[in-house]
Amino acid sequence: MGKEYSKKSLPLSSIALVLGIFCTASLTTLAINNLIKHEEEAYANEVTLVKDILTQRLSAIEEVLHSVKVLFNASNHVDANEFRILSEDALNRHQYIKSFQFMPLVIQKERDNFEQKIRDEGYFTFSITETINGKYLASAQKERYFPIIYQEPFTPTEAEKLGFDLLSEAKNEAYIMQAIDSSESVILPIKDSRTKLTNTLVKPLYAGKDTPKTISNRRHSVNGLIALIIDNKKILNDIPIAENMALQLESIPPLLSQNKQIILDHTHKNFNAQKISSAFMLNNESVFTISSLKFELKINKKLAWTDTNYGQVIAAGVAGIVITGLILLLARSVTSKADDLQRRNQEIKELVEQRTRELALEKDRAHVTLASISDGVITTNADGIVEYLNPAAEKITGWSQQDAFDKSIDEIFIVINEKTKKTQTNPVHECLSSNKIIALPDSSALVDQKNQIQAIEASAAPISDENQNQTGTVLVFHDVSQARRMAQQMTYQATHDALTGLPNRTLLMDRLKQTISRAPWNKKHIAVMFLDLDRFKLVNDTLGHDVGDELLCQVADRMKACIRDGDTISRLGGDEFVVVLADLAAMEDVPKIAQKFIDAMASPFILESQELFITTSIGIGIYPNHGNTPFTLMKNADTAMYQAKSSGRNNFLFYDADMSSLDEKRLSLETDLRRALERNELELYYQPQIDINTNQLIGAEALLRWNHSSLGLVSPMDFIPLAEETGLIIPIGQWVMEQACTQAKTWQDNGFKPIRIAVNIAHRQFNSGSLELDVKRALGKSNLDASWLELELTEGILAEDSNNAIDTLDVLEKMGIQLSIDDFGTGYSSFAYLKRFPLHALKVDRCFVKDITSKKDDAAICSAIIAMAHNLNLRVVAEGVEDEEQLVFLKQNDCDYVQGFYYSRPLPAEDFTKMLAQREVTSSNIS
Amino acid sequence: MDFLRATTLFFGLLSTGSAFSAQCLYVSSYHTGYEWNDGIERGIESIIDNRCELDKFYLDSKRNKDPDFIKSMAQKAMQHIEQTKPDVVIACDDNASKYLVVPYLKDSQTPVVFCGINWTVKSYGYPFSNVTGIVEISPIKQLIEQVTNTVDNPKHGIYLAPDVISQRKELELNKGLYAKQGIQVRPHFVQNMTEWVQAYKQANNEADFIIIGNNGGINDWDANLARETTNQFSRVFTVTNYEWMAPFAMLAMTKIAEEQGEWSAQSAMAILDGLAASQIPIVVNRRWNIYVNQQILQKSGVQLAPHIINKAVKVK
Repeated sequence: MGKEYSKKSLPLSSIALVLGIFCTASLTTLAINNLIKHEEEAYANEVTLVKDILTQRLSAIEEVLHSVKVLFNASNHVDANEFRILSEDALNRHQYIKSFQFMPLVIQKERDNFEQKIRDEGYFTFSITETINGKYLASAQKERYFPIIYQEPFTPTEAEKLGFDLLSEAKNEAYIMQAIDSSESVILPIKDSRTKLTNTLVKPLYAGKDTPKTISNRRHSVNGLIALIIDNKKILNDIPIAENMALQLESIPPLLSQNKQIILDHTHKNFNAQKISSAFMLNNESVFTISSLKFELKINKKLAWTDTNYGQVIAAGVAGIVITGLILLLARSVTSKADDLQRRNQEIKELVEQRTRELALEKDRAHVTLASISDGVITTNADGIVEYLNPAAEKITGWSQQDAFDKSIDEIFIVINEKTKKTQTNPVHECLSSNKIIALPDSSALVDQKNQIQAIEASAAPISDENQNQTGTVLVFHDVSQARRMAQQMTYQATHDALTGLPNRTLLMDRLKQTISRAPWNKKHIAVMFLDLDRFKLVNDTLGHDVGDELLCQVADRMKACIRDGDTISRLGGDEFVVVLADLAAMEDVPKIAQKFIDAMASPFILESQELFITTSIGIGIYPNHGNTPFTLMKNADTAMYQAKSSGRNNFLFYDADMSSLDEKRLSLETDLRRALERNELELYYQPQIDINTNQLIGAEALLRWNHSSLGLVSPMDFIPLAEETGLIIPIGQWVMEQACTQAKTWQDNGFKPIRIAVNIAHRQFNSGSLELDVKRALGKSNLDASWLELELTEGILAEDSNNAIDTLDVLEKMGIQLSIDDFGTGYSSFAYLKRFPLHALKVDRCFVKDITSKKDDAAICSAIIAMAHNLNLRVVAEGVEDEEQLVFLKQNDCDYVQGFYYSRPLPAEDFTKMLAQREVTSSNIS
Repeated sequence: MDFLRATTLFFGLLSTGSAFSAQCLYVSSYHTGYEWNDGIERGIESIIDNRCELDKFYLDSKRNKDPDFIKSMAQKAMQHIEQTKPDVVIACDDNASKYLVVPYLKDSQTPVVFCGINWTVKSYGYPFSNVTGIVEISPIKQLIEQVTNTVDNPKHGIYLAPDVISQRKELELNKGLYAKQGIQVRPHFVQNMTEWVQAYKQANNEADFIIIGNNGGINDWDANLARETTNQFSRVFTVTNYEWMAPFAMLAMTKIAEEQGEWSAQSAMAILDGLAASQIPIVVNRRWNIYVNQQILQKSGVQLAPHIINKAVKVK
């Protein structure tokens, strides 16, 4: 029996053994597969978390760089203090930003001036530098440079970088050119000396408010770079990277020919200490994009044998052995073996549950991380139903996790366009349908639970399972209200006049350009009106700038009431306004509107309880008749306005091509006049003044003539008003005075009897504040005694600001200068100021003398003026004496001196000298 | 041998008796209680913070302007340096450079950081191999902008200040910058409070605006009298670049003393950490404060742009 049993049990045992081994192997394989699957899931979660945080931080960095660019675009000049304030704010908010830099573009021919300018600002040792053997030395000459001039934080250890030229590193050039051409950020290949990693992002700045559209324009208008340096260590702060993980982040350059740059390389010191042979490796490589920057993230994880809980596998092995034993003992106790197997299965189940709990713990860790970041994070399922809000999301949306859970994303996250207030497509839906990362447009805003609107930036990214099936979305967003408000405010200030709130020249030109671009389509006319207030300067000078400013505001208000909604009123500065009337159906409306503006100014302005009257002159240019570009229309309207002013003010004129011709002639004359002094084209003529009783030549009036090289003799009537208007009268007046004094002294030195030389003083010259100095200089240079110089002033000069005039005349009178009133009778003819001012003579205007013998009125006026002047102890000079009858009349009426063609026309100095000589000979002969 | 070395080192450490590994010497041109100087000192102390033992020496040249006295004080300071052998010297204001650094410390082994020198350091021949520092420039350009915005067609300004070297330098700097705008600035230097009051009244009748300089050097300075004078006799726009003169001017735009101290102390710390003085370029201050005095403004009728009033600190 025993032998039979052996024979039967041996094959049975063999079968049981084979079966047992098979079961053991199967169970062990199953357990190992299960183990690997759980490790991979945990690893995938860790990778996603690291990637999300890095993405968010790199996005923040790009956003900060963009904000700095906006500041530069919005401001004409960002000084070091403004750059410091902006940088400090960003550095405080983002610990992983190490520093900011600003580098203007400097071209070789401007290098010396640029360096000197910075030295003049106090940086005495400043020069554009490059590094040679680690030392900053003056850089070699190059076509252009991008030297650092602002560095924040600015510390002594960083100060040496001032002047460092980014282009001195040859490797940088191609990257910088790429940034300029694309107008986007790039990461430079230069390495941080401490970490040996790349960390410098640069962004180009262009002249003007907008980024140029074409590459050639971008290259032409680039004027600087801004750079942001990433702190390679701090950017990883608070990111859970376990000891057995290694992380590497590389930037993928835009050009294939360029190498990838390692930005982050984090490997725990224990990572390499573990033995490869005792571990297996999990690898993940993913590529993601932030704006124009492309990155590759590599995360490796080593699993040592000791890292993993093998209870499940051991249990499976043990179970197999037990099963083997059970099979062996099957024959003896099938029932008891079955019970035993059930118990073992229960143990396996418990082990699986334990592992599940461990995975849940890992998930909690991810939640803690999400709770600590400042960006809002919302996750949804594949139907757009909200599953999770982190605390930042709760704060921004106003929804609690509890209330938002299981609600549609459309209810929790309502997105509108901040300007139009129109609802926008929710990025979650776009992300779900496209399975791509979707970012919200720039002007997006969130309507929170309390219906408050907050400017935000947001992006939705798909969440996928291991089979790449989309299981939901993660929505990351943050509040950018402050940054956007700042940008909007800067844009407003850059486009509006601070005093009146009207559009400024920039905005006006932009609108005019747009209006013109529309015009060919709708076949409408456009009118550009150039308005200038008449005699506004008088208001400013007499009542002060505050009153002037208030007047401009009131004028702006009245003008606004005269136009339609689609039209534009702009203030260009000073008292100049421009109105653009768009889409005009009928041209006949234009003069009506112009008259409306003139009428609007007619009623008095009440300023500081005073009534003030002001008028305006308007020039009008019509599109397309008078120009088809904003510049031409503005220029022609300006020309027409100028003509309107010239023809009497308080009216309007349409542009006429002849006006431009006049304008050009005037401009050409102005240019030539500026050169006339240098070219010695100016000359003084002298007209004698004769003592009517003794017939002695007692003085001469110096009269200015201009011998133009091509036009010949130009009339003083043509060029003196122009010189007054342009301010050239001041240097010309000075020249006249010096020339006249020198000539008078030369006659004296040549033995002629001293005569008084009379010089005309222009209105602007009198008010220049330097008349006293000019007179002293002329007398000093010529060595002429002051008593031989007479200044002729018009009535207008004295009437305008009599208090100042008295002061000035007192000073001149004390110097011994003779003072006379020119053209008396044609202006204000106020006896009051004749009494108040320290005058010595008055000159009767030629218009009275002309008809002195034929018109009784003129004869009476002349007699009265002479009598009145003598009563005030003033000498009288009659101008324009042309015949003997006039002379006789004047003599009979006790006039003192005469001047006119009867004696001599104005003569060049040489001829006048001859006349003096001749008179002296005649005089000595008589005596 | 090793024992001998260890014993020597031990007793050497005992004999130093100091808890600091380095010593810094602060040489002030003036005296404690001089407001600008005190601000610089506060800035230095906020940075030093136990990194080195901070020793102080005052040349007292504001109260005693006699060059012989200042020279003798500088000699004493040099003796002190030879005795204590500081690791770095911070030389504050002009006289410390003029009388101590230039004659005694030029190109020596002792690193020097200067601060508080007004505008240019060219007259001292800087930079030297062992010297770096920070230059003081008042925000004059910013102030000129406000003068041209506030005064209608300004032509003539008067610079009212005591007759001291730093104020003469400040005047030259002002003249040059105002001249670029076509504005002429002439000085009215005074010796005492009576002259200051008289000059202030006179300037109000002669100038389009007044630049109020420092009061350091007017030994009988009377703040109450100055306040009374400015309240009663101000007719034209008055400005200053000195913080402590803000109560007597309509608008003050001022540099910040602490910034000078902070930068020089940071430079000193960098030198202690191994950086050579020649590796730190000479820089200028980059921060400023704005103050307006509404009481004087209201009485005088001068009107400032609203955005400046909004930005500024109101002085009473």
